[in-house]
Amino acid sequence: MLRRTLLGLMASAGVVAGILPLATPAMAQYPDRPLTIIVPWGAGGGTDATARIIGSLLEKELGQPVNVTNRTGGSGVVGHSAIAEAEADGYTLGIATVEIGMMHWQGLTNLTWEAYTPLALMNEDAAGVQVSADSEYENLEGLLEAIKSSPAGTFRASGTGQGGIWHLAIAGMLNDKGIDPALVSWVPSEGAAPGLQDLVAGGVGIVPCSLVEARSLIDAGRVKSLAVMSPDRSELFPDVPTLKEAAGSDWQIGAWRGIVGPKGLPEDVAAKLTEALKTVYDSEEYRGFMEKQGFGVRWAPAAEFGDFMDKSNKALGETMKAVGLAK
Amino acid sequence: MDPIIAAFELVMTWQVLTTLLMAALFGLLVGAIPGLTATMATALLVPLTFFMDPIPAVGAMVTCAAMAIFAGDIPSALLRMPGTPASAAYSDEAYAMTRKGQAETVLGACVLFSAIGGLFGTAVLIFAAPALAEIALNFSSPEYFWMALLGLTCSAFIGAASPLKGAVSLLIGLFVATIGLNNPAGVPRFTFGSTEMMAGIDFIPAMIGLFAVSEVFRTIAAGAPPWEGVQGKVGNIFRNWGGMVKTYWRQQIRGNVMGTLIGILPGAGADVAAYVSYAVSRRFSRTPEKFGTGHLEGIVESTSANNASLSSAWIPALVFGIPGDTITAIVIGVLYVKGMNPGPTLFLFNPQTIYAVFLIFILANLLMVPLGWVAIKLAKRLLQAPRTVLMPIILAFCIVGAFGSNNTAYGIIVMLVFGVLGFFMEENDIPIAPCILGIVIGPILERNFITTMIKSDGSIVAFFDRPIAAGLGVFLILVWLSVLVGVIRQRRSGQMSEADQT
Amino acid sequence: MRFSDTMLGAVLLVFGLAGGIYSQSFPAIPGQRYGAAAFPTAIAIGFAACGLAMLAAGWRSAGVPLIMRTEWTRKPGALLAVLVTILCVVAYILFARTIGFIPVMTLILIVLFRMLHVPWWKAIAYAICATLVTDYIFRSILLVPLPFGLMPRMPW
Repeated sequence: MLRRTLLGLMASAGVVAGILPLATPAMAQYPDRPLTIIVPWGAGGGTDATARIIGSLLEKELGQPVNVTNRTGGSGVVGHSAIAEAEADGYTLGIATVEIGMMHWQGLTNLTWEAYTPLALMNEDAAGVQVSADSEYENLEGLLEAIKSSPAGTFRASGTGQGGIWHLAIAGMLNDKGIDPALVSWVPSEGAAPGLQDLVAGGVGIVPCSLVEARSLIDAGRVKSLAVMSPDRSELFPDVPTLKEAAGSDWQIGAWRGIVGPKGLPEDVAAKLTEALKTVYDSEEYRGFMEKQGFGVRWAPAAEFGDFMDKSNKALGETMKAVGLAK
Repeated sequence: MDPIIAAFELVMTWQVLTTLLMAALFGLLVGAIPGLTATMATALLVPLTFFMDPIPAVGAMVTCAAMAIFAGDIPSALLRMPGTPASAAYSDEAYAMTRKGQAETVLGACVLFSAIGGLFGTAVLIFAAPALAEIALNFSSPEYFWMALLGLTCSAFIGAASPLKGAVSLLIGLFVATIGLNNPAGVPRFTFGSTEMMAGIDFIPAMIGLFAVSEVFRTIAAGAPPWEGVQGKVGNIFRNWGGMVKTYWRQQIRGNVMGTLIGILPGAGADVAAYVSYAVSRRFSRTPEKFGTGHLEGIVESTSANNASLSSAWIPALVFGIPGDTITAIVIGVLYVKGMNPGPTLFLFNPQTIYAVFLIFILANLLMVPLGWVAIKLAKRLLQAPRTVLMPIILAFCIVGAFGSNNTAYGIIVMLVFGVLGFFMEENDIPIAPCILGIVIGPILERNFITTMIKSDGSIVAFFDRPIAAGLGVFLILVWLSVLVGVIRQRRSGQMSEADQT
Repeated sequence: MRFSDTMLGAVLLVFGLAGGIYSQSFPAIPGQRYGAAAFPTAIAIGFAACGLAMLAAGWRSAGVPLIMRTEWTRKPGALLAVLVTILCVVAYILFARTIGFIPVMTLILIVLFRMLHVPWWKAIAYAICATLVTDYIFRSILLVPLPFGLMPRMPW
């Protein structure tokens, strides 16, 4: 319990004292030892932050420490594999992201969503269409027209790696509007922040990342968003029209995050976890955190989450084949 | 003046000060352990900050990171095991000083100049943040390509007995950086079907292997004899501080400026700053032949630079929400949670909060001196322990550190392979530092080359058609020419002298 | 073990050629001239060039044996000590997950201490203390998930 003491010291040092339970009675049933949540992405990213808030709230819910550990690299393949390969005892969980429905189509792994026990979908952020604030395009229609009538390579987009979710977002949108996706060349980047910086620096013209990622630069008046690829407008920027409103397209895509376990989790364990995650999801701390971060929230429990992943997987596969990103 | 007084009131409370002290101790611990970086120390604080007020939360991260970067110097100097990558550039040099019995001099210099560097970076952050962030925001891939190439050029000055062997080391590093999926095309390279290899070679375990494990092998092979010429008693680290500042004021200012500039640029952090500064120091030194033999000059410059870059990395982070390094990437997330949304408005509407953060920066760097002193006192006891006991324990720490960098046994495999490689390289007089530089800069160089080529449809002109890029490109070509001329002159003037000092 | 310039040059040249040829199998980025192969090919050319330069240097200083044993390897037991150290790390990689961090690390430390002639009782005492302290620092303060294996969780 020395770690507890240390945490306790830090807690009393600055903080709401006593929020961390100092001791928990030993329980014979699950869980009777610490849990681990594997994050397939690096410390500091949105997935990492989401996992850490879920972890700290789950810790209160289950009465056991929840350690969040990063297993990064390989565009998420390494971490997702680690979750799938963990022992199915409910003590190792993971946060799965939209990439699970993408990487197998690219031939990077054989892993699909079926390698997991779905527990709960916790968040979804739709893609947006961001251009520089001094760009001549005031609306999406104008931008799409210009893309259509210009030679290939005039327009360049960035915001994630080659074949990443935002690459797919813009390719799918163009495809849906009957424009050849190859007209916009994709400039790979290490995530949304470098892509946005390049947008402001004038290196690329479009960054189709989520609105929350572009938030600080939109607030600073350096970047403007022309549309969001979701059914409803975003709470963060209610002035930004949906893709349907801006261009009459039904294309929707977003990055989601959910908690999963390895395949074959005992049913009672999975039920207990989903129940605990529901309490976490409904808690004021989680909602407040997500709202302040600007992240969207979306809930789907166990089987429903499985269906969601199945649908997401199929839709992504179709699009990737259509735009030539799948093997 | 009101916001400044309000800021003092925000910071000078027991709660905040105690939090800062705890965070500082935590940062010292994590930074001093090889394998655990300042970034990890900051990430570990994240869940705790959920329950803190904004000022202590941000303050804890600032303090913790500053301490961790300094603390990396301690095992680096005493055991030749850089605690964080930012210390790797001058690890050999600092260790050479310890072997000459000057451990307290070098560690004293590390504390002093780390603190001054941090304060300098803070001053720039306070007075010039918006203007400098504006410049940094104009950097696109051609500019970064030139910066990366400039960084690689530094390896020529890091110093090897033979420039050819230095180049081999750099190439090894560059090659290692190509392994895995992390490349612009997003295809697996040299992974031979392994999922773990797709993540590439994590450079933390590689660094532990190259520096620390190879040193353990060497010592154990020699039967772990007692230290030669190391002073048993703990000296006074404050001795001669005035003299050092007087002698090395140029180096120190240059290091501060260089570190600050590199820190502002998104995508390059404290590690790159330390390498570049060390190389610059050697290039302009009047006594470059002393470098590598336990000479303080380069250490002063690079230890100033890595702490300066840490503070200035906050400039783009606070002004535009664009991280200047991996640590600020984490901090930005916390800023949002705490309602201190980064952006120009933060400076306009919330001046007392931002001043409070600045104040904490200053406090953290001042706190470094007394805490650093205590840490060095404790750590110096390591030198009194018999090496037959110390070496196996160091190996245990290496194993756990390599495992902890990505929580996988694969890290230990990488560490072992690079330990053997580092051992072999030393046997053949191939220097290690350029290899680490190659691993760090390789991906930046490749990514920016490829993305520039994508943007320009394969036309090389793209590297010169933006003003900053053209300026950097011309500057780099001039540096190369000056090096070339220097080499030719040296060959002519001293045909018989074999010493290459490029 | 020290390679002569000729030997080192040959190794680098072969490595450069092999790497360069293998790199050509990397797929291109659709529609782009420079793709995944560009950078590794450049590095391979660099290796080959360094290799040739070394071979040239080796040519000038003919007569040096290809592989030399450096001084320390002649010391009895030195090579064996390095080998045992490497094997200890390998043993940790293989067994830590199933048996657990604490028992495996304690054993490794005892082996290494004994190899360096630390007296038995000290070796055992130090090994146990060092392992437990490491376990506490890394598992409990730094939250590194060291493998439990067969061991129950320590009381911290």
